[in-house]
Amino acid sequence: MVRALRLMTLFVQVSVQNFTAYRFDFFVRGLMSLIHVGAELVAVWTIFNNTQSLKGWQWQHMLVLVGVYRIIAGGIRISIVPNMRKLLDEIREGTFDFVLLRPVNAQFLVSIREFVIWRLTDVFLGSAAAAYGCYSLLGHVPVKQTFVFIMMLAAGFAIVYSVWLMLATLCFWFIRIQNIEMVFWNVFEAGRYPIVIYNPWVRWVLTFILPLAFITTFPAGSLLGDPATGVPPSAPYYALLIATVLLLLSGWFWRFGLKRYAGASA
Amino acid sequence: MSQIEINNLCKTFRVPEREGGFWAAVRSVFRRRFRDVRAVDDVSFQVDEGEIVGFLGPNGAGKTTTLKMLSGLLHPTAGEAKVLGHVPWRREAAYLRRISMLMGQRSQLHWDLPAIDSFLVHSAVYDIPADDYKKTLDELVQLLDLGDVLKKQVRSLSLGERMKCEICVSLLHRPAVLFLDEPTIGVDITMQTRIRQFIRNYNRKHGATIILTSHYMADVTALCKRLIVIDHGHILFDGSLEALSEKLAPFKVIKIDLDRELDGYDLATLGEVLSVEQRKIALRVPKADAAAVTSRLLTDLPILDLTIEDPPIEDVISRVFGQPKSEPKQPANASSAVSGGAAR
Repeated sequence: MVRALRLMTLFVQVSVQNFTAYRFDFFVRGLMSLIHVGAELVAVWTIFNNTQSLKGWQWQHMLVLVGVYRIIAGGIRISIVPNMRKLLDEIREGTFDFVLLRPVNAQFLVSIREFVIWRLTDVFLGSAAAAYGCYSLLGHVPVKQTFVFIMMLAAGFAIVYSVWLMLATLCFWFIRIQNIEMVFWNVFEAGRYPIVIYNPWVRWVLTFILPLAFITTFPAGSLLGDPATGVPPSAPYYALLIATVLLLLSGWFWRFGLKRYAGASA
Repeated sequence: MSQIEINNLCKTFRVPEREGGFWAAVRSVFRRRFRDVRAVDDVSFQVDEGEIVGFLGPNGAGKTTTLKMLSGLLHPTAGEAKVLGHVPWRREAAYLRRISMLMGQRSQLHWDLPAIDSFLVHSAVYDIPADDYKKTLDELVQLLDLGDVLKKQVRSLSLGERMKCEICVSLLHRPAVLFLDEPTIGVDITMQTRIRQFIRNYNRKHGATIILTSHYMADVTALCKRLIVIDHGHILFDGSLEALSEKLAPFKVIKIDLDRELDGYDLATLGEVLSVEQRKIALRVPKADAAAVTSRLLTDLPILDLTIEDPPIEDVISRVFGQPKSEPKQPANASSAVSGGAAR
């Protein structure tokens, strides 16, 4: 465990070193994050110029949701996507063999090697938006709910990680699946809006099949603790359950894929 | 004591197959046909501690597949293997810590960072104590003459420099068994020689067991006392370099230098004429006849100089694989290719 943490820290360090080589990028990209969040806020503002609420979600609620979306999308871009992209490249180019030669758990190793540090700006901006939305609705940021909120964010992150790991594992069978990333982001976009605005059947799919609800809407609702958002109080428990099941399932699928790799690749 | 022991190792791949053309392509979408390819077929051998063994064969002979099974990357279809007392494909950390595999065609260094950063990551992944790491690195840097190279971004290194870094990173954890898959591929002749020297020194100093594949004959002749020749997944030969020429090329090459041009003398009755350049002639004769032919030549012809040589090893090998020599002779010290590109 200590060793795992040490390794992870080292990879973060290396990423920071890597990133300092392109300092100018930092400012440009930081600015881009700002524009992104700005555009999202303008969209929210436009909607609420025309209506008081979206199926019970007021602008403060939406601000928290925009924040959550940013935090999670930032987290995905900091570590999940770059690591999985690297993994897909390596499987395609054959350098994945070097991962298997290392005396470290392969799933762990492929998940912690890359960190895109400057994407932290997304996490900061998202947190600021969520905190502001929460503050303007409740007049304070509730401590206990913040704790639950952070746990739900972690669960949401674990869900996305598991889904990505399974998608990347498919590469052991189908070598060319690079555009899977585009498909992922297109689906993920749906998480920008509260789940209640969708048709019942879309809502069902986004809760139980592609559990997007657990990644953005439910954490946002849990932070506010407001029944008007339509988020059930039991959501945190289900989030933990789904995250655990998916982590186990993706780990199993990964090992299954590895077996196939060792059995068939030339 | 043998460190590597392989018994009846087999590996079969299933590869999809179809006829050429549009309709065949469409049909293959619905009904795929597969063909079994035996990449490694009933291979057995042992390698002792500290030995350097050359693994030789044309493309697709099964060299890389065998190395991949020994390093735990592939599961065999049948057969057994033990390396350092471990079954490789169980990929136990204790095993992986003691081996290294270098693939000349593929890089394990971080492209955007200086090599030294990749080395640091490697030392953390292998959990090398700081003191050991420093000692080993200092030694390798000196032996490979890496000084300034370490701080340069890997993408800006020359191929030779990069290869030295690849070798360095593979040895940081002081592996007891090394699998080198074409370690000199693409680098120039001087660098090839230096890499060879380094490998030899490393083997002497640390007693590491090494299996080396290369398609440069010179790598193999310079480093390996023992050769294993493999073709179509089968072992054709396992023994010393001398025994290989003995077994596969029972010929001698007699070269003569004449005082004057020949006039109507039929050399073909004595042996196969390899070349005639003005007054220099090369003949290939069966080993058993070499003495008799030499004395005939000496009595019949006005000879200034005569030498009897073993045929070059690359000739021997290309005869085995039934291919003509694939490259024109390069200048002294050059290596000629036995096989075309590298096996994957």
